[in-house]
Amino acid sequence: MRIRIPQKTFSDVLTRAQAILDRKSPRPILEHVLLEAFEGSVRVSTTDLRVSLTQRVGAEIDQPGSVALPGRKLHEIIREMPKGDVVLEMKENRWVTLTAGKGEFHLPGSDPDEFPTMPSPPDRFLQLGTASFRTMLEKTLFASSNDESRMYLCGVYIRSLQNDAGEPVLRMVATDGHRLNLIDRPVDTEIDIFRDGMILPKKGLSELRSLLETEDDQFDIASGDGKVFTRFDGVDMALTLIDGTFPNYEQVVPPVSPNPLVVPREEFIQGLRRVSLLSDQDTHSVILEATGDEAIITAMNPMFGDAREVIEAPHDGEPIRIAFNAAYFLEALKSLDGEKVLVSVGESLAPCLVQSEADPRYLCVVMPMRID
Amino acid sequence: MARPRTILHVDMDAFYASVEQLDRPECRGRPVVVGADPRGGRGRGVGAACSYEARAVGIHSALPIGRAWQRCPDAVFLRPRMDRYAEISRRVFAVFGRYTDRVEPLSIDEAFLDLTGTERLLGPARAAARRLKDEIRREVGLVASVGLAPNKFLAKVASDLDKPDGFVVVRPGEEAAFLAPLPVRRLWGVGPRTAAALERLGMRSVGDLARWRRDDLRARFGELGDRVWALSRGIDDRPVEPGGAPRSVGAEHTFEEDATDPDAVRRTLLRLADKVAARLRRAGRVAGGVTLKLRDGRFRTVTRAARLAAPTDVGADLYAAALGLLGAVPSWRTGRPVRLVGIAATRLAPRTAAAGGQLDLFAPAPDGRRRAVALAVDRVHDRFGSRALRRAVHVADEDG
Repeated sequence: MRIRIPQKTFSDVLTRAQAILDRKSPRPILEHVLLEAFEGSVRVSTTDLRVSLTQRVGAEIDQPGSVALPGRKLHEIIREMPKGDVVLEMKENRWVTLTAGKGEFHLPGSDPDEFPTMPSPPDRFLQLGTASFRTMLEKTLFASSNDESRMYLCGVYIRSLQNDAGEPVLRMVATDGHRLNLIDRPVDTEIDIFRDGMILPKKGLSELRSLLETEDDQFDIASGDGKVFTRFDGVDMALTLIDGTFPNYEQVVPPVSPNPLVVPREEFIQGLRRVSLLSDQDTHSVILEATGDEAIITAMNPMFGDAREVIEAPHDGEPIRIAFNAAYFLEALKSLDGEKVLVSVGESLAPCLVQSEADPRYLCVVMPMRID
Repeated sequence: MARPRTILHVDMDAFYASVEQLDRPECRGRPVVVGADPRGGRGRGVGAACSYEARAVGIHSALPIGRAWQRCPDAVFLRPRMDRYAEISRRVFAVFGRYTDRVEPLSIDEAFLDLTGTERLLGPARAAARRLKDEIRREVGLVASVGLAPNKFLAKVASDLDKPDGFVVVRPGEEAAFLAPLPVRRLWGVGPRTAAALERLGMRSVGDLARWRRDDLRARFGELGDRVWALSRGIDDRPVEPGGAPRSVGAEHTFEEDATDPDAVRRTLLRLADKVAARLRRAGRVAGGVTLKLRDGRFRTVTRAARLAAPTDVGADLYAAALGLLGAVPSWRTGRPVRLVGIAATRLAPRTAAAGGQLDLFAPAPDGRRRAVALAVDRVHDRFGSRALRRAVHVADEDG
């Protein structure tokens, strides 16, 4: 095996591959990338058994062949190499030599047959709009959980359904149990593969989101064998669905209050940022109070002091007083668009709804904290 | 990055012997050995404690008492009076209590104190530590060695460094320099065998060790390599745990024959979760995390840990979390027979402290009906034994 490939191309491919690599795998082969050189192109594959990524890039192939190389080291080396071409050549006992400019590196390769078989995609793909799918991921992914004891929260729930107005929409929901984001976007017709709803893993979706940062309008998607396959610009990805039932999210989304608190979004963000500097370091708890025309954010920390900020915010309803994690609220506010946000607060310990005046189909739900 | 902590380790010098010298002025300045009866050199027990005068003539606490007598027949040999030592200990700990409530007793005469954040109240930590040491001497009449450092490991090494009557301060940023000249044996977890292995690789001092790369140490010594790497740089993030309360409560079960029925394993896990939860309730504690342990028929053991969304002392919550972890174990997914299954409740906290804080969207309101049921079950078990009331799924199990 001997190939010549531009450093920049190789480095970009490995950066992406690296995101999928298992970091502490009991199977060392999962910390490897599989390189397969064919006529005119190289295929670079990585998998953690849940998410598999295969990238195809053009390269000069002097001699076809395949080898598995330690992914992290390979990436670090290629990233630091000078601009220009990198030559990768396999020698005896699967030792691989990398040359670029005046540098030469040797890495021990592994048997490509040890590498897990990459899942094979079904024959039929359908096309989805890139921009809308990416936006939906951006507005949901951050709310999903990292807690593996509740695996079913460690991803985004995607479902195709008809909304209350009878229009077909694609819905994404993500939650870590403390906050929840729900977004609907119209689609032309219901999307069969998402009809029953499925939970897709965070790691694969994060990668998909960055892949979708492109000029192309459409990407290909398919499902089968407990997996979702995407195909895009020479990059194939397979995401294994997360087993388990997504919680009944509809029952925790509170109704929009008839008289919500109307807050200027940017001011609210700035105020929260400042006040939360003095919130408790473990709980990040701040208190939001609203009466008449003012909303007041306060934070107290027995060791570092306290803070208070007033924001002009018209409000007709009952006085409000709730405590919440400032970080959850800030992330929600930052993900919203538009100048004004509507905050619907129910009872003091009930979930709180935050949405933009401009977009009623994107909802952020934040569960409050107890006020002692 | 967490803010730097201020940890104090206080260790009473030759505690038992010093208490005896305090109570018996005639023993002051003489070798005192507290322990078994020397029986004129024929005694078979060992000395439990020796005054520094005794140590000067070569008597140490693990020495057979008969040998101690042979080395120094003039020493004062005394039988221990544990009640008296406990009484003095309480007075010493009362002094600690004036400085902080975050006191972790290690033994009757030794404790960690977390002074982080007390500067406004007590003044600079160094001065506070000096004052604490002086108060013990003045009020109890005994001498303590004190180590002040950014973590427990360093504080303990520091208090030991200049014994007796030691007062050693390690300031943040000076950790590595402080440790460098010390022998590797000072590192927690390095015994004679590991020390010998380290020395063969040219590591005599902690400084020698600190020059090694983490990966290389791990490759040679496994988990221990990771730990000594961190310790050699003065890294130790163990918290001071007041009350000496247990860090975890666990239960495990080994199947008589490797279990191939996943339902049987789940049933056993549920039973263990109930058992652990009952012990938590009894201790008035809640778990903030769960660890699952699974050993397959080929003796390969994996553990998986997770934090809980809300602290709990209810078996069903622990079980649900463990079940989630189980699904992530590869050998379980491939259906390999199970030899042992275990569950532990971790990140324990007093129940009262768990009240308040972040509410969960999906978890039932804390203190709901499930906990009331659990408490009722506890009462039945207390009165009629643990077999009087069981979950229906456990009735058919022999060992349920």
